[in-house]
Amino acid sequence: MPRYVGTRFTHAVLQVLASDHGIDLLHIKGPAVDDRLLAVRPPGDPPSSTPRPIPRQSVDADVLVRPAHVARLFEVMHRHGWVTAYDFVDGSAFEHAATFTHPFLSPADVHRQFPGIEADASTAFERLWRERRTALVAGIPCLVPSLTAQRLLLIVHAARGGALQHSDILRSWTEATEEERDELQHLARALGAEVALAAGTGRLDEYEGRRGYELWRALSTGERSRVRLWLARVKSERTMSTKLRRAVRLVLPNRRRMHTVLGRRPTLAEVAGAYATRARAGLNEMVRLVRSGRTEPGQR
Amino acid sequence: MTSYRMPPRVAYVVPDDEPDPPGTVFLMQVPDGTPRVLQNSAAWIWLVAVEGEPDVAASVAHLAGRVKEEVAPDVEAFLEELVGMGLLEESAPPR
Repeated sequence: MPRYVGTRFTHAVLQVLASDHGIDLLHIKGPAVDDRLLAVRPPGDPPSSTPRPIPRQSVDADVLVRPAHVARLFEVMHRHGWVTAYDFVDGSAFEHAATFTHPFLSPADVHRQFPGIEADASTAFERLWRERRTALVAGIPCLVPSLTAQRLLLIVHAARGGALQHSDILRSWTEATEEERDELQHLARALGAEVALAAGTGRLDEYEGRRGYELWRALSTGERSRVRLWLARVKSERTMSTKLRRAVRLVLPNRRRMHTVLGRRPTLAEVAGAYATRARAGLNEMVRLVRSGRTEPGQR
Repeated sequence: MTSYRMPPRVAYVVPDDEPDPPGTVFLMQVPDGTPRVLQNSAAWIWLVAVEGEPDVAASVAHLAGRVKEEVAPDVEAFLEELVGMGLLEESAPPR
């Protein structure tokens, strides 16, 4: 079975499980994206003689779940053959998504929040949920964010990956009408995503000094220095306790990821070795940065 | 003549860039079924049936360039099999 078929089936399965168990979730990215935001095959390109949207290829199915329903979704997924590959804390530095695998379906990435959206996760979900739409994925009616929200998620996602020339930004922002851009900015304000949206649309300088500015400058410019990213992430946290937690979390080696790589549980010595390696690498990079006199994220 | 429809819990994917009519369709009963692939005439039978076409055998024969009488027994048997697998259901006769 081609991977993209498995991805669509995963979306369909998650929708049915959610509907059956009163779980609110929205399908994002991949095959859930509105046709109007897809690349279009030019007319005359076989096998069709008319313009057709080119379906998005994804290796996994992404869903955003109402935070209060996360535990219920996990429990239901486990009962239906899904296995937690990475929990939230094992994933990206944003700790926004957990990854599940299945014996024959494509993996599922379950988001409890979306990086770039700074509003409280439950409040943000409620806003997206209120404006939800239905889209057919694998013939099953799946709930998706509004077209405006989809534009926002695509732009922010591309910006996070440093892909400012990504065609998603072209179609979601560059080619959008003034009215569509206004709606997008209005939604971004409501969700606390103005900085991330600005990073994806070449207007980040307008937000200099705002919390998150340095992080999104580093992310959207493809910053490679781990130390600069580490500093920017820590600085972007809201409170001293979350800053501290983030600082520690980014230095500690991830045991579950080590387990996956090694194919077995890492020994204490291996964890200690990984910690030493990370600390040494970070220290070396810090020394280089200090010597070069450039410690600000995004300056290369 | 029996008409058919797609059961509400059947997901399907016609691969991108398939010709018309598509020669492949992937089916799965969600959430716990095993994915299946139907190819060529098997795919046509399912696709024609879920369109609600009352004479599936005639339509499939047309697509295959055969006469209905040649294909009808196999088509009817396969339709029955699909219903048995839960990948198709009979729709209520019009009143």
